[in-house]
Amino acid sequence: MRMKTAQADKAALDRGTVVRGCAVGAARGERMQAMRSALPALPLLVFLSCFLVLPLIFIFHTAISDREIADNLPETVAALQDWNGDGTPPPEVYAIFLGEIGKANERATLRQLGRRMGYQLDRGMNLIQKAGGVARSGAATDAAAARTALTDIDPAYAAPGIWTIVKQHGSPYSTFYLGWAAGFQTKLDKDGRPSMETGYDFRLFYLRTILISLAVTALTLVVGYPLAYVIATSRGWVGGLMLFCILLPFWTSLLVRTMSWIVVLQTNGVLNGVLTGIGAVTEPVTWLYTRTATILVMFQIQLPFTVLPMLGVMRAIPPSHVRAARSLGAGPIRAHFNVYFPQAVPGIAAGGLLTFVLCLGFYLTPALVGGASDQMISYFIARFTNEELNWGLASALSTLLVVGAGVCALPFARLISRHSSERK
Amino acid sequence: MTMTQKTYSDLPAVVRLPLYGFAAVILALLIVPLAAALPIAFNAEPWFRYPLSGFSWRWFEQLLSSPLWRSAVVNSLIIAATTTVLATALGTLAAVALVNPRFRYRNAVMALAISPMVVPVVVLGLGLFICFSPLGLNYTYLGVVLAHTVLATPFVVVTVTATLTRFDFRLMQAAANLGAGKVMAFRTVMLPIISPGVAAGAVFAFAASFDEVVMVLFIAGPDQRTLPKQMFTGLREQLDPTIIAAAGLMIVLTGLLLAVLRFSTKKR
Amino acid sequence: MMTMRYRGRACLSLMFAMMLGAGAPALAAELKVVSWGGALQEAQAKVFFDGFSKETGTKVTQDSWSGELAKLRAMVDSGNVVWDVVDMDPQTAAAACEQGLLERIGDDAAFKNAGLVDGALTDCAVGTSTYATILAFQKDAFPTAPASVVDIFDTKAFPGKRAFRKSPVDTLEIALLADGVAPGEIYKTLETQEGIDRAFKKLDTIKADIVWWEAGAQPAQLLKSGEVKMAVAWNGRIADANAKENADLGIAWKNQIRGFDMWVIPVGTKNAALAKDFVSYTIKPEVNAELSKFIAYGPTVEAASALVDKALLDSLPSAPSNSDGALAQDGGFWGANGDALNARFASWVAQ
Repeated sequence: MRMKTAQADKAALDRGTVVRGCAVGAARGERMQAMRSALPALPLLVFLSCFLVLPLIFIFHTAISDREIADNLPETVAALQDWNGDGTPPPEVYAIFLGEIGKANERATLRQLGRRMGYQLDRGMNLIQKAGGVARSGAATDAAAARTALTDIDPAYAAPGIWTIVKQHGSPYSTFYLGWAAGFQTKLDKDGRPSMETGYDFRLFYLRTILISLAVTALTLVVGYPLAYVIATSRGWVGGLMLFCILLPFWTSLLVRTMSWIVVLQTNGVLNGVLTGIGAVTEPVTWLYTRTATILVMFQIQLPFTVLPMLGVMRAIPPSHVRAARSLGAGPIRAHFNVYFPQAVPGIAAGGLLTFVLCLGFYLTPALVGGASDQMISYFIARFTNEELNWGLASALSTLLVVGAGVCALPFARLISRHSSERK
Repeated sequence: MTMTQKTYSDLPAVVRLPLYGFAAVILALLIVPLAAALPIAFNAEPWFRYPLSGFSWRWFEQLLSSPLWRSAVVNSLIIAATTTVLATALGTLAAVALVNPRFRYRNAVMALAISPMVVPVVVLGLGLFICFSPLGLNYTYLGVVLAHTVLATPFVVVTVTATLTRFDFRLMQAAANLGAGKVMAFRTVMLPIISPGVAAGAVFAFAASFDEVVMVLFIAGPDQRTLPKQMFTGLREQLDPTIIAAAGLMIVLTGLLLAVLRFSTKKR
Repeated sequence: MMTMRYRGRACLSLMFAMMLGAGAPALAAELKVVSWGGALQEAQAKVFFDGFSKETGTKVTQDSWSGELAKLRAMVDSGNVVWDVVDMDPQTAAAACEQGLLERIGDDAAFKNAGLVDGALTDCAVGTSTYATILAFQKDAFPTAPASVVDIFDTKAFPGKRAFRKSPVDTLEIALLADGVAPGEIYKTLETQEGIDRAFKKLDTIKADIVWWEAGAQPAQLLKSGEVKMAVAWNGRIADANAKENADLGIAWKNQIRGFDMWVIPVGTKNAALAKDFVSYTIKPEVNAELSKFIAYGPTVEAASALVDKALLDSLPSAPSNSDGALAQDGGFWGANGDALNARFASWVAQ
């Protein structure tokens, strides 16, 4: 009996397994196929993960990393925790500090520490180098001697500024660079008060970047809309030629196009030649290295990017709609703005958004035709990466730029894609 | 009938004619600066101005004989060619997956694949610079090629995807029925048919790398000095018409590639 | 079909071989010398690089820079130093020396006994030529020609755009000279906060008219293209543009700021010994004197002064007729204060 039940159970179990197995097999097959269909994209996915996603993560990580003090002065940081920030710390701290400076000197990381200190403290690099000299000399044998040696070589060691900074930055992560990039006063003087030394005003540079981008976007929209309309409604060779003129710049490099503008806009250049030739001006006008030149050249470079999305949408607008409005008695202008224009809005928004986002990242053009006070945020990212080697600040500036652009662009992009899917 | 339709759809002449004039002026703005700049390459004196003081090939000679410029041209060709191979392979394969309706995350992958076109190049350059630093890839050819491939791949993906949407996938089924494996079918059936699209993508990728300067500013060392880098330095530091001669060379080269592409696809 | 495929593969492997090959270090003795590009480097190539190559069989490869210390710092930090000898101005050399980026070659007997003029030998650097920062101008731009470097601040008598080097070095000195500080008091004044403020205040008065340049060849270009009417420039570059390209530019010598082009050897280079040989070669009197033939910079070795062509002497910074109110650039001052002044200057320029 028990055997029987067991057998029946087993049979039932088997049947169940088979049925379930079939379903599982089919689902697995489906999933396998779906996975197999993704296979060709795998190399690119791996590639982009390594060389696009990972770098962006690295940038964020670098922006919030602040290792120099934590790595080089851990014991000093620990010893400073009992110090309340008034006056100077006890002599033992000086001895520990000097010992760690000596070690940093041997590890050849003293210059990095000095540079980090210089970011936040007046003459910080100089102070650390001097401490390195004291540590090398080996004169300071006990705590009191260490304190005397340091305060003798520079009075800043007898002030709270440097010790406040060391105490505050004992963690390998901080918002120091992000705060700096966001334009907060970060630099202190030797007494720990905000420094008189005025650093870069990054808020101004972000504002400048946004204003230039807005100006260029507005210009391309105002000029691009009629242009796109003319191209969209033209047929035959005229339409073809116009389209070619719009597409041609895509084939010529950004650098070459910017260069050609330098020739045109120079003081002895083509534009001034023409202007003085027709008597519009008597003295050559300075165009190059100005805000005007920056916006003009960026406008010329971005125009095709604004026009092409508009063109795509406009071409899909059936002419019959305007005809219907006209036959119902609307004037040509009214028919255009009441019937045609609303349908072109998704294209206008897409073109405008694309141009705005691309403008935010412009580097080459302002660098070549703009003056020193027309440089956008990308210029400073490049400068801090390549010239000042301050990767933390460059990363923080990049993080703010990318996050800012994303916050600006995403809701818009959503709206546009919803709009265009509704149209379909 | 057509006449009446036209009067309905078109704007009146008072609006239309100025509008066309305006369009013509704006289109001229896109072309004229280039047309005005290029003749300077034949100026006999090293100044960027008109009238030309005489006709001379001097700057083209300089471009091909000065070691600095010549090595820049060679570097650019090596880097662009390698980038093209890498980007075309990665992009074409990815495009095959991106047009497959079974691939569930294709929208997300597509967005990722074209995102290098929108992320500021300076930010990408910094990110790669930081990434490459521990790997020792900064100041190497490989580093520059990888950086350029990131920028060039979107062009291949977009172009090949567009071509593949017109591809008849039943052909692949037919090949499978005849016993061809996936790879075999891809190589012998799909690739020959979509090759014009792949070639167009490759030309785009080549141009993207051959023109690129910002990544080079971040990643390349003195040994990887490319033509655009040399032009950029020249524009900032020592303007001379060799730069314009180099620009002419770049335009001629991309134009030539385009023409070859058009010619070969027409013949098909 | 097969051969096609193999050819394709061969092509690919060739490409990779080229990539690798180009990245690998060369086997023969090779020295990478870095200078400031343009006319100076061409002259140095003719006299120093080619001569040294001929004498020793060493291949000299060149690179150029515009004084951006960060590049060198990046190399030293990463332990991958590809520059063997670099031409620096006194202030950059002092700053780099202070930061520990350079070999301390100043104590070498070979350099100590070479008979270098005063100031041409410092802890880390050996001077090879004397240059001057002067005022260059378009001859037909003004009814009366500017006579002194400080005239660049006189926008009434000399209206129009003017060019400065995008660096506080020389710029702050000229601003103070123009504000009435005597040449001997300049660096004392710059050591005080008030002195620095005073210099920037003076610069503010003409900031709107300034075009900034970064590479030595730019001033001649800016002047010739009409972008600016006058420019602070290095005398050799202007003389070169006049001689080779018929630029016809004027030079105001009064209040010139004199400096040295100095060779330095980055710390950590694998060719330090060879680099020292090269530096020694360039301060042999007969070699050192030769440079003036190709660019209007003077020698740094006492014994070389006598060997310079008499016809050239008047165009050199050291000519008595050019020396009125001359100021010698104080490398030591800039080495100690460069960081802070550079930061303030950079943010002031970008506002």
